[in-house]
Amino acid sequence: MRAGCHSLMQSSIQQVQTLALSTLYEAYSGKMIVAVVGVLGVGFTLALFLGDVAITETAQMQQALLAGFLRMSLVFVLVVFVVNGCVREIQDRSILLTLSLPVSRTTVFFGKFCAYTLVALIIVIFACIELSIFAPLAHIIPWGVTLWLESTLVIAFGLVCAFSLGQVPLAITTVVGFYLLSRSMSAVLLIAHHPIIHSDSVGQSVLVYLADAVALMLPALDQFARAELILYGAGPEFHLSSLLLQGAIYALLLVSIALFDLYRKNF
Amino acid sequence: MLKIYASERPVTVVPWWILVTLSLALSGQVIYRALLGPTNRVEATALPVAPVADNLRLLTLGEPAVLSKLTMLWLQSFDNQPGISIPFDDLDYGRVIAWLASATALDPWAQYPLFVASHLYSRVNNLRKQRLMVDFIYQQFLQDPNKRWRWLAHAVVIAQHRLHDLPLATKLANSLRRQAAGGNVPHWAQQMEIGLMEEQSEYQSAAILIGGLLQNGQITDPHELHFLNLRLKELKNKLPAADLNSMGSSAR
Repeated sequence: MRAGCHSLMQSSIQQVQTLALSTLYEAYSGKMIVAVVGVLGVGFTLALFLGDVAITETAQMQQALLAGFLRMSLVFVLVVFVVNGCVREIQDRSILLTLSLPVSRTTVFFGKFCAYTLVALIIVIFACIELSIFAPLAHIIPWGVTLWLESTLVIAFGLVCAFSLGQVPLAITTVVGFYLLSRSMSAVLLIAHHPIIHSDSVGQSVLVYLADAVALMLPALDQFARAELILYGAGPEFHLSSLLLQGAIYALLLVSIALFDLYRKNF
Repeated sequence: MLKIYASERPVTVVPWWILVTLSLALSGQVIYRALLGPTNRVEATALPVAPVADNLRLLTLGEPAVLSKLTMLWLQSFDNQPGISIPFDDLDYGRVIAWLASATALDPWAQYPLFVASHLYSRVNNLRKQRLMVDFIYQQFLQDPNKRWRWLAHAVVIAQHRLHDLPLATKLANSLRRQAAGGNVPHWAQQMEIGLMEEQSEYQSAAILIGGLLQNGQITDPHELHFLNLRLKELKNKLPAADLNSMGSSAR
């Protein structure tokens, strides 16, 4: 019985590996590498340009803007890659071929998810290498770890949207909206809770409750991969364990939603 | 719904462990955010140094007005933190003014920076900081007197009643009369210099100023109207009853 379970587990892992390899091959053969190299090149040029024009705090200017640029651009490249890859498989029906194999839908999902998170890890490592030209490595590591966590959440949400919406523009718009809202939710809450003109109107109260409810459902992405980490290092207010916990909880939530949706789909 | 999929299969086809994981993860997310989320962790931070407008313009992607508005909202979040509050008095006014100047430079038509300068930041209980704001308003007025006269009119009231600096108030009112000569500037604003000679309370001066603006149709934004009415009410409550009676009789 025990040996049966063990061999089943091993065969599932092998299936995940095979599916992940095919997704990695897709990343390699597609234009993703070009996009990533382009982003890194533009980032590097931008940092050099800023180093030329800044009259003070040159290094900080380069670090902050390069970190901000890489964070936004690489997450966007990943979103496009994930959504485009999945939707294409659904639209050209090649996913039917995969599903006709003796593999569970969970295995199919994890094959893709693992491959994309691995791609994200490679991209983040390249971003960190580029940043290390301008900033100390000790500052870059916590930034890189949290950027990878953030990318993982965005990938999971991208998979949810790709499978449930089935259209590239709609899915990308939704993921970008989710990402931007998650990053700016703290500011939204602050403004909602403390308006300059206080009013007892029902509308304002409802808006505050709505903002609170939305915040509960979103990951605290504003705490991830902040440029302050690169500029000043991980201070006492930075708790990597808390962010790892948030990343794990939210990744689990998104993976469950994606699997729930995937199992119900009739392709 | 989009016609991408033939149909949906029943929930019963979803393995039980996925449903359990989904419920647990959802509860975990709510608990995490409720206990450790940004609402509980937001801390008041010091206002950073403002970049000069030209550098800020680099980030606008050709939309300086948008960044100006965003800058104002962001700046607002620094002083709007009751509970985790930074009172106005604790803000570095040099930096506040630099941010306001950058926002105005990005969008010269914007009234928001001058509005907050004259109605919010000038309310601090610190004469030096009030004076800094009055000076900022005056400098901005000089750049475009016909568009920014109403903020200088308010600065005249601040100089007279809060700074108790009649020479400064006279200088500002004089500048208002001489520089703001456009057709949109009402007569009463140009004659504020004369009003300084009369003995008026801050409430009376503010009532004249706001009443004049309302009559002139200069204030149309409902939020601004609401804010100014609240401000007037505040001033009225501070006024001794004797002064109110004298105002009532002089109005009759």
